[in-house]
Amino acid sequence: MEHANLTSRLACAGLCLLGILATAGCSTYAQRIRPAHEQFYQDRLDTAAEELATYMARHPGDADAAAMDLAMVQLLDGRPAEAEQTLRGVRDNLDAYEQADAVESGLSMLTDDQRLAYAGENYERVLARVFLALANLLHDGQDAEAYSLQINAKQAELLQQVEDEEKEQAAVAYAPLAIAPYLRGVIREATFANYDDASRAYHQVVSWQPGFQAGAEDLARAQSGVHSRPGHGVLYVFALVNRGPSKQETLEIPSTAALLIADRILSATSRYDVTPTLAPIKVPRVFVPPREVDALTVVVDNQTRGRTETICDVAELALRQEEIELPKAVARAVVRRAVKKAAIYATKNVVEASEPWADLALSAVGVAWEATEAADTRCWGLLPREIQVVRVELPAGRHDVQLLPLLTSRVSVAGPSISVDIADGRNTYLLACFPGPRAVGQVIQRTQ
Amino acid sequence: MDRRTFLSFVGSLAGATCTGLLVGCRGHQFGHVIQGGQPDLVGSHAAGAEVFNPLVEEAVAKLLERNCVVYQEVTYQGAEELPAPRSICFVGVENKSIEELGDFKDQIYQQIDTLLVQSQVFQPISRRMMDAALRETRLRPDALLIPENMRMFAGVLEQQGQPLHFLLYATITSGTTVRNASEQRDYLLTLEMINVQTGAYDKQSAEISKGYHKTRAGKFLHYNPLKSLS
Repeated sequence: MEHANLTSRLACAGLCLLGILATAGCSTYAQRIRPAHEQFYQDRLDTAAEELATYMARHPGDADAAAMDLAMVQLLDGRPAEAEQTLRGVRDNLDAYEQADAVESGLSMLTDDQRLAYAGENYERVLARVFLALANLLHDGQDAEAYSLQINAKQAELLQQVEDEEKEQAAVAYAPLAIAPYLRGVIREATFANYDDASRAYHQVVSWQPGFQAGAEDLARAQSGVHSRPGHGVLYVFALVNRGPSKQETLEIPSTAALLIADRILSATSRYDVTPTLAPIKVPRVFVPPREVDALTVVVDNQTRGRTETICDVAELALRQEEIELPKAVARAVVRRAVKKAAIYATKNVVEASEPWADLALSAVGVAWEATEAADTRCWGLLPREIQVVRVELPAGRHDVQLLPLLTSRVSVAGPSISVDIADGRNTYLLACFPGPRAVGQVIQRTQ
Repeated sequence: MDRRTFLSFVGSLAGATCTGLLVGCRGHQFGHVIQGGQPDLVGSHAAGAEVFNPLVEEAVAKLLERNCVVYQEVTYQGAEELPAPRSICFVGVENKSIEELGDFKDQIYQQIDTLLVQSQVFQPISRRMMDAALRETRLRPDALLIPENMRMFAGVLEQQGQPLHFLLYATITSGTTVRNASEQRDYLLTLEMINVQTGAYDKQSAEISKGYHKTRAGKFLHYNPLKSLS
């Protein structure tokens, strides 16, 4: 009897210690990465890059999620080659971590999903390729077409992996993205020899995103026109507009309530108490901040020449894919709870915690253990809400280009102004980022 | 519910679910070099190397065979003198098939161009020169057949020291026959060579047919040897 009591106390002490250790790491990624994001949105790109690099060194498990943010900082800081290199590494890691690992999955059942190697959300894997294409286009353009082909190849691969019963919903969530053929069309058209490819690509853009008004004009030009008139070149302005989707921890109340009722029923009919579900189940949900900017007005040499249109709605993509992925995250969280409750119950059984204080102590440890869970909010937090584009044909030579954000209140405010060199018969690309009314980072420029 | 029943219930529930979630370890992706004699992978949904490689080889071989005979001349002085290779501008590969060529288009272009260079029957004009000429003239490749455009294009190439004798177009087309869950797709690569001076043209093509089936039995049902005997 004396021996049993000792065992019981030792087990309790051990579990308490485990609980305390686990509690130490229960903050979420979203909370930890916030200072770096704030630096970015305040246009302090150097500080943001330093903070992200430090964070990646301190938290290797979150390094890929933070690296995607770092790539955005590098891109908008005028270092597209570095951004491309960073994103290439992330793309390969995310692809490798797509496959589940038994040991990691087991550990995550004892702690939470933050213990899993970060495989990224499906939309992030696709968007990594979109941004690789953009970064390459703004660097040397050699691989931009290859990346553009990889975008929808990845979407198709993700659709194939979906279970049969989810196919209908997944067909919408993993629908091909119009930005992929658009980029391909832009590149092929500028070769002057591949109008058939450009035409096919723009045809896809028009079919997949009928709301993109410029698509019809692009298609008509590729079918029967030419890239540009003699002595003219083309300016493409890509704009990363509004703050994009990020993940935040939310409480899954219905599952928590259901589990609480279930464990109360089991407790009433069992010898020992099942750990009560006092700590709510936490799951990550996609959160999209409200829009502030509608579009960018492009003013060339004091003349309005066009307005950007959305070619890729990042927020919509993330929300569509979340509809498919959320039930899986909730299921994982519920299973984790069941595993933890079973472990505590088994411990009570082994140590024969018949004394009320021991039963209570183990239940308290169980509650603390469950409360240490945090939702896996690792994500690409610096994504824009929309990628917009406008095409402007201009005479070859130097031009003064102004980008004026048009706010959702239909008020146009001042924006950055840069000098752009247009080459005869060639494309020139600009990239600007407007997470709000004020631009962040540089306006990046490259002539093909 | 007694303790053992409860424990076995919770244990089996957690165990079964965890097994479902945990099966498998993270693997690695591997690559290997395909040796010369090994067959190409056969694309399950679209044409790939197994279709395009033989199509290119056959169509180019036919074109070269015919033109090699035409331009072989013998002088009456007794010594055999081969004519200088005629310059040819390979304008590009046009995809008019139902499938996306993706990264295969440039591959096909380079394969055809390389075979032309190696044959020494023609002297191909560099693609970079052709692209520059198209950019300068702002002509679409399909507009080159209009005599005025062709003269303008040839003029630009001549300025660059590249006289132009022939234009070559490659076109990929497909035809699909559907029978229930099976499809037969015929792929045709056509090479069309136009004499810039006379407007005369030569055409060679190669064809490969492929079957696509939703089930393994599909191939046997539609293409088994017994069926052809009956």
